[in-house]
Order: sequence, then C-alpha cells, then structure tokens
Amino acid sequence: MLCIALGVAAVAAIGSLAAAFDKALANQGRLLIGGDLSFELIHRQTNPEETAALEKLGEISGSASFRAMARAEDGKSALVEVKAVDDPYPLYGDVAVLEPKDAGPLWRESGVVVAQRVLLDRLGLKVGDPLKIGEATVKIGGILGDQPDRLADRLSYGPKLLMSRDTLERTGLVQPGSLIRWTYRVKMPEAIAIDREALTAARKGIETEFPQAGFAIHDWTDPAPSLRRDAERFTQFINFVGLTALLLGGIGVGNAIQSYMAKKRDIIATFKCLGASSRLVLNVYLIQALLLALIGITIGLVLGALAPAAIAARYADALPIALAVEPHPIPLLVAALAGLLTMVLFVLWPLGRASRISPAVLMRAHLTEESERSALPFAIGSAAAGLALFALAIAASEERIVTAAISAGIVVAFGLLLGFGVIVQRLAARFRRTKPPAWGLALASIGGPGSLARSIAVSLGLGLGLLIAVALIHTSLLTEIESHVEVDAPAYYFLDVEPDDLKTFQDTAKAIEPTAKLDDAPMLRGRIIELNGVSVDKVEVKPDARWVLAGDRGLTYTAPCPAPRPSRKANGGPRAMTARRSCRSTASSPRVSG
Amino acid sequence: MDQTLKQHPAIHLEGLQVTLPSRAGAVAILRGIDLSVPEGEAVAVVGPSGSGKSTLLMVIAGLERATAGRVTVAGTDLGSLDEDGLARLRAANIGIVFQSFHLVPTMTAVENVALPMEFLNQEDAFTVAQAALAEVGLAHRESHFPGQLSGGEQQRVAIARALATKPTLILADEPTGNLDLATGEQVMDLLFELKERTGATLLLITHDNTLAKRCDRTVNVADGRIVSGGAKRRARAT
Repeated sequence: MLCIALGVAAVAAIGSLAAAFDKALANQGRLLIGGDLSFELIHRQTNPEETAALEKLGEISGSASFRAMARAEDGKSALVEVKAVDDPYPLYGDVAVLEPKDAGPLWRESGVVVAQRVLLDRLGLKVGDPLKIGEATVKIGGILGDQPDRLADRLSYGPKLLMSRDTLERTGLVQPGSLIRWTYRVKMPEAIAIDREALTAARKGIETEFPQAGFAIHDWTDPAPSLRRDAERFTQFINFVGLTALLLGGIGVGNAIQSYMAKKRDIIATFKCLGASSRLVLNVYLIQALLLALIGITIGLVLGALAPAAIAARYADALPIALAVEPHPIPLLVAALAGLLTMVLFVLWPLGRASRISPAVLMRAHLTEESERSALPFAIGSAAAGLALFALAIAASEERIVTAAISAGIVVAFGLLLGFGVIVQRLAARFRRTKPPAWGLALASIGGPGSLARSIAVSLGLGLGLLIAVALIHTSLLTEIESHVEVDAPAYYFLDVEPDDLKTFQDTAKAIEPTAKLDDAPMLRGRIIELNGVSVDKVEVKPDARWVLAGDRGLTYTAPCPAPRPSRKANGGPRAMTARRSCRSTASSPRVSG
Repeated sequence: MDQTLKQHPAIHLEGLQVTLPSRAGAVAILRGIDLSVPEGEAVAVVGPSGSGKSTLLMVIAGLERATAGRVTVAGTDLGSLDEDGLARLRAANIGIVFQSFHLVPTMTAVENVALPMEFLNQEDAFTVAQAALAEVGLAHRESHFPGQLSGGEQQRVAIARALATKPTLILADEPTGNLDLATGEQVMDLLFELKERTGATLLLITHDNTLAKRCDRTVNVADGRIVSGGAKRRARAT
C-alpha cells in the first residue's frame, strides 16, 4: 500500500504542479503581459498605419522600456530600468505604489516618477527628492510596488522606474537609434479575447498586414513561452522519475503479493476442497489487493493534490508566478489510473497463479510451483495492464516520442534484468553442492523453488537504473551548461563599481580571498550599429547569431590584446571580473567595429 | 435423497490409473483400480505408505485427475467436469476430513463450518453451522479461532464442517493421525455416529487396523493396486 501511495503521490504531485503552473499562466496571462495581445518593437514606434490597425483591435496602451543612468544631486548614479507609459496603462490589474499610501497614479504627473525602493537605498534618496535622468530632473513621487506586466519585461539590470510618456519626452533620451523597446498592449472586447480562434486570427491579421514590421507578438494564452518550455522540460524529466518510482512501487507490491500468496497456498487449497471455484478464490484476493490499492491511491492523490499548495507556501517568493492552488482533476485522474494499472500489472498474474493452485497440495506436499497449472490468461491480462500504463504515460505526456522511448527502455531493462535473474538462479542451482556448506545452502536457496533472484534482480536493477539515470541527466545538464561557459570564466562578476571605489573593492576582495585573480575592465552598454563599417541592417548574419545585434550588449574594452585563454586544467584559484562604469548614459549608441 | 443417487453406487471406479510426471520420469501411482462402494457403506482403505491410498481419495474427491479409467461419484462422471464443476460437486456432495484439520486460522469455528455453505450461497449458512457445531459438542466454542482450540476440538470442527452440507459421501484422510489415542477414539465415535445418523457413505484412509475394523469393509491397497477387499463391492454394487 505504501509503495503504491508513494508512486501515485509522485505522479500526482508532478502532474498537479505542471497543471498548477499551466493554469496560473493561463489565469494570469492578461496580467502577465498587461493585455490580451502585446506587440513589441525595438528602436522604433509604430507608424500611423500600424497604430490604426492596432486600434481596430481594441483599446491600446503603449509603453517605452529602456535602461538609463539615474543621478542624484550629489553625483551618485545607478543603472535603472525605465518604463514610460501612457494614460490608459495599465489595461489589466493595478500598479502598486507602496509609499505614500493611497497616492494613486503618481507617475501620470509630468516630471514625477515612482521607483523601486532599492534605487532610493542605493543613491541615499527619499520620496520627494530630485533625480536626474537624461536631461530632465524629476521628482521621486513614491515607491513602486508590483506591476501587472512584470513577466513581460526583460531581465532587469537595475531598479525599475515608472514615468509618464510626457516625462519621457522631457528626458531627451528618445533619439533616433536609442535602444528603446516599444510595447503596445491591446485590450480586446471580452467576447473576442476569450475566443482563442479570434485571438489567433487577430494576431495573424497584423502579421499578414505588416510582414516587415518585426513585431514580437504575445497573447494572453501563452504569455511566457520560454518559461512554459522550461517548465515542460523539467516536468518531462520529473515525470520519468515519477513513472519509474511507480513501477518500482509496483514491483514491491508484486513481491509482497507473491510472498503473501505463498503463505495462503494451504488456505486456497482448503477453499477449493470445500467447493470454492477458481474465480471465487481470485475475487477474494483481488478484492483485498484492490481495496489496499485504493487506500494507497487515495493517500497518494491527497499528497499529490497538496503539492502545489505546499510548494506555493514554501517557495512563493522564488516562483515567477503565483501557482494556481486548486485541485487539478486530470493529473489526479491520470495518477489514479496509473496506480490502478500498476497494481493490476504486478498483482493480477501472481493472484491468477494462486487462484489456480491445485487443491491436491493439501495432501500432496511435494507439489511445487513448477507443477502448478498455467496462468497464461492472467499473464496476458498483466501485460495488457502494462501496455495500458505506458499508453497512459505517453498520452499524458507533452513529449510523446521521448516518453515512448523511455517506456520502451523500461520494458527492455525489465526483460534484461529478468533474464539476468533467471541466469543467476540457474547458475546457483548448478553449483548448489559447493563447499563449504554455508555457500552450498545459500546457492541452493537462490537456485531452488521460491527463489527471489528474479524479483530482486528486477527491483535492484531498476532502482539503481533510476538513480543512475537521474545522475546522468544531472551530469548531462551540467555538461551542457559548462560547454557554453568560457574555460576561464570568472567565478563572480561585479558590475557598476565606480572608478573611485575600485581600489577599495580590490583590497576588500583580496582580504577575503588572497589567491583570487582579479581583472577589471571599463564597461558600457550599447547596441552594435556597424560591423566592419557596414550598417547592421545590411549585414547578413546567421539566424543563431542575430541576437547579438538585436539588443543592447554589455561592452568592455582594453588597449592590449587579451592573452590566450588558459586550459581548464591550468586554471588556478577563483577569478573575479570587475566592470568599471565608464559611460554616462547607456541610452547612447556607440559604433562598434568587429 | 436424490432419486438419481439411489440408482447408482456412491463411488464407482473402473480401470482407474493415475500416472504423475516427475523429473525422474513418469511415476505410476494407481495401476488399474476397480471399486464400487454402495450408498451408506463405510469402507476403510489400508496399505503401506506410498501404496496410493491418498491418491485414490484425491481422485474420488476430484482433486486429482485420472490418467485413464472412469470415476463416477454421486452418479456423476468426474471426467466430464471442469475444475469449477468439480468444486461444485465437492461443495454439494462431498465432505472431506483431513489429518491436519485445515481450518482457516483467521476464521472462527462457526465461520469455518459455514464456509462450504457460503460457497453454495446458502442463506442460512450460519444457523446451520451453529447447529452442526452443537452436534459435535462445540456450541460454546463457536466464536473461538482454531489457534484457541485443542487438536481434538479442531478435528471436531473439521467434522462439523464436512457434514454441515449433509454430503452423501464423507472422505476422511487419516483423521486421527494428529490426535492422541483417547481423543482419536472420541473423534471417530463422533464421525461414525454422524455417518449413521445422516446415512452418508464413508471412505476412510487409515493405518489403524482397529479403526478399519469398525468399517463395513476394508480395502487393502499395495503398489497402486487393490490386493484385497475389492471383491465385496461387486456383490454389493450389482
């Protein structure tokens, strides 16, 4: 019962977590992207035709996102993530202003911004203080809390700062070539927004009408595709562990049932002598097994159903979105079915064999399992349950080919291990008269009737196989990551160290780790606009390298050419990279030649 | 009693052979047994160990299949029945008493006695079982488990179980083999008394000549063949 409960709990928990994540994405899709549809452009705003086309879809809110340097009056500065929004913003949800209380949409006032508290802490400012951004000096109106479209924003390099489009104009940072991400969110009529076909049609319509516009389009039904894909991969891996755990639980149940039925041989034979049919005997023990399985499945389902709530309670702060904590019937149904099929797979055959025990064993003690009648129909029934289990696993999986391959691998491994068990048993039987007697008796026990050699080989083999598979996948993931990391990549990066603070920083680092190798380089952020004297618009770049030109990059420079990279083996102690700030505004666009 | 059964002997064996497979090759256990036992007769089957006595009982009970020959019990040819048919025949017509009692340890005395009637879906199984226990003098022990009963008491429960369905044939396999002399005599007194009261046929496997003499006839088996006592059945059967 415990075996089945644990296996079902694993499958139910994984399925429930994946469903909770998917449902959270779907439920919060509008909040996560800030609209029903979002259209994103880099470097330019929509032209009048594009604007008109978007306005036909519904209510529009446009925003500009970029990185800039914010400077306090005392000269301290910090990199900030600016979002400049129009009056309709936000279309869904609310922007929280933490301080002052009930301040309302302060950011809509010209010359007023709301910023995350960390910016104020970093620059030693308080609400009401002035702050210079670009050419404008603005007032910090309040502390910025949660925003509804935070997941749609890119990786943050600094504290967030919210302002109006009017304030943005005053900064003078909107210049041709400025690295600004223009996002247009559309709130559609409800009837169209909830109709996925209509939503897709609207999206396709814009793509077809403006094929060269370069819109990155998202809709609320799939607000974070990369996050979803990562979650799917993780779920796939964990599902494999869950399925194997359930099978191992099933083998445990099968072994327990075999031992149990071996003890019941005389009682079954007595039943038959007294007039019980084979079917009645099968029903007696099948009902027992299924009742215990149902208890185990129920316990497993309860544990699995509680998993999203437990994860949400424990790791709420670390999760990118709030999980949908509610019962998810389909994964629970799949887990229950998987538990039931596992039970039938491993129980039906031993029970079927037991039900066909000859009542003659009561008077002919030398009758052994070898002389028992065939239980072929039950073996076929168990095999059918096994096929149904794998079919269920494949049907419930997003990556069906991978799941099918894993299922086939498990079946092959099961067969090989069973064969290995048979060989061990036969070898032990052949050498059962080995001296000294302790060895002989041990080998006779392994090789004789009722030997556990086969079931132990399968249980241990699959258990160890699971552990090795998990370890190999873990190693493979690490290798994959390492293959993308430079051989002499620093252990730590420290960004935004002011030139005046560099010496203090180096002294502090050496005091903490004397063997550390410290490098420093000036750093600026900018976009590559020319390559070998050719504008990047005209350069042919392979698709997998285009990202380098698509956004702003952190750039360092040095007069001498860097030394050849040392091999991984020659790499000494820990290494740190320090980037000194060297530009006054990251919204500028330096030309960089390769 | 069933009209059909009155027209037939309780047991009729013709040319019965049983050969069992073994790793060393086929072993002939019974080598051509002819035997007829009329209704109501008590027959003792005696013989040395390995002579085939128990196999003979198993074939008559439908627990073992004949390799050759014909076995008719309660007017039914056992060769024509499948496993479940044989089980139904045993439930309705045959009561078996084992040397080792074979009570179900997780069931009380009355539940053990009611078991064959439950297999027959008999509504009043527990009422009949209580009455059967009372007949063997164990009414006060009906809620006791086998482990709480002495060997003699366990065998009396087993006899109550064998006779509760009012079988036409009682098969007893060395029923006193695990009991002391005095207890064994009490148990056999009870068995013969109940047999007389119900008019059932009794086939008793035993090594005890004293016990065998209490039967109407003694059949001597050696090396898979009847060596004496088989002739009388012809006189009574025809």
